[in-house]
Amino acid sequence: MTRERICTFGPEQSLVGILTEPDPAKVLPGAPVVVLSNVGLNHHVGPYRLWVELARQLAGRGVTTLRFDLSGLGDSRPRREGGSDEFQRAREETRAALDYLEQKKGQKQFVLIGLCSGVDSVHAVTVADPRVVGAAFIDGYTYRTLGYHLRFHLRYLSPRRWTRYLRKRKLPARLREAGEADEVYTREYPERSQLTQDYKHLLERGVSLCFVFSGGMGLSFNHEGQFFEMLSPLKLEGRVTYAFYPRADHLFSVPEDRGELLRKLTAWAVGTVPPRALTG
Amino acid sequence: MTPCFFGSSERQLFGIHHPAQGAERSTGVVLCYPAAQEYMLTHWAFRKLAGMLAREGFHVFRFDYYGTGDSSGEVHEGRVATWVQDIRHAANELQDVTGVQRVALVGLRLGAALAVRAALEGLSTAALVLWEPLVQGEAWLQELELLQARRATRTLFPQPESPLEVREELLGFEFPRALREDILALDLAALPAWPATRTHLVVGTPRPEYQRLQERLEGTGLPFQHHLVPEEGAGGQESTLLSNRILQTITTLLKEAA
Repeated sequence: MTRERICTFGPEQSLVGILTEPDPAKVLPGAPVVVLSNVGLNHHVGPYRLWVELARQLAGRGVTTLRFDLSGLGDSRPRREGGSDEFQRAREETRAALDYLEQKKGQKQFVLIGLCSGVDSVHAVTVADPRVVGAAFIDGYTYRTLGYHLRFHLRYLSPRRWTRYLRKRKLPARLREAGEADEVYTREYPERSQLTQDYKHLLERGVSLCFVFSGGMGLSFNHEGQFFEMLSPLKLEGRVTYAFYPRADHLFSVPEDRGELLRKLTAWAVGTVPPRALTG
Repeated sequence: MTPCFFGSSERQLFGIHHPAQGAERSTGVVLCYPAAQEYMLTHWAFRKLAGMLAREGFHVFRFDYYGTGDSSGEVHEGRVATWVQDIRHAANELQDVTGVQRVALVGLRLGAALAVRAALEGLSTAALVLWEPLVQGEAWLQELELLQARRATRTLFPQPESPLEVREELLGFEFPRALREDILALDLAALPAWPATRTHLVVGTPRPEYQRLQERLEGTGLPFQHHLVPEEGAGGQESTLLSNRILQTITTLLKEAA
């Protein structure tokens, strides 16, 4: 039976998380532990309960998961010390989660998964910490390419856009624009040259990389080939796991879209287990 | 904050106890979350409210209903009767852990309707705080359906239009027929009896359904107070749900009542 227990760890014991462990009889030997944290201001449950469902699905496949709140978010207390740099704290605390799992559970290999702003600490810790053997980036860094600009300028020829415009006109006026502002995501991205270097080093280190993009990134990502185009010097085709879900919104709010994402992430995470470990 | 799992091992629920700071009051507070998308939007506000109440000497407990948050169960297993029972378990847990003699319930939206049901079904309650309550299930569903329609205008690939009972999904969460039926059966203003306790209605904007509820409550002869707390920010559902002024009002009224 899958077990869930509460963990308190990290600087000033401020971090709270839930460890989801598979039935001892079903543990996948050699599987790294998957670590998840906040998506924006959503607490460790994840948007639309995404992280809970992922953790329980992974447990069903023999993989352990820790989902936790960064300090000051969700159910974790703010830290008294730690400075005002939110990004620095997120990196420290993600590493604190790995330290905790290593000390308490004897785990030495980890997989990190981040969505939207969560990608920042996942990227930084994956680059810096050799214990990370897999990293998934959902709606992570994007760069506009020639293909993007061509499609962007042709968008008014899309019948779907006109249909959407007409649907919107039918809504009551008070709902038409309400909440639009919170759907604009602006973050500072690393320089593309730096990111290319980082991915090159990660691939050389043997880190399994997974990139997922939703249709909710339309202002910066608008076609399937854009990912490989924007990182073309690396020739990533076939070297990483990649999926583009144009129908899904940024937080995969439709259950069917979420189901697709969960299947993809579960299969990828289980696939990070070295073949030797699988054959026992 | 002390997180815990409580309930049986097959049906464990996740809760967070915020211990009272300073002089402890003999009344504890159980916070009853709303459901589905409203739970996601307001989790932070509940944490903040719990902290404000704890600083005033209340032991506070907030928890996830079965099939929600970190509690066991699947989203599609959610039922009103189960969640009402969960409130009773949460109140017992708070009393067991802290020794508080009485428990006040604070519920937001569907959580308010569940709190009323829990009190009506025998949970001894020091006070009921109904925060932007779901008064009539049908109106609540219609309101959320409008937001669902808004979501459809934000994608180039909307799902085919279909009624809730067919698509069984509401704003990103599975919403099975049985739960829809449960919700449709809710009408606080038409309840034949009302829990024998002090009730506070706390709202950001006046609405006809709150007026109906107010008339019903005034008719009971039981102690009742209506608090209209104008919302901050640009308006709309999100800012109402996150209004700091409402949190302050709830803290003050519980402090005065205790």
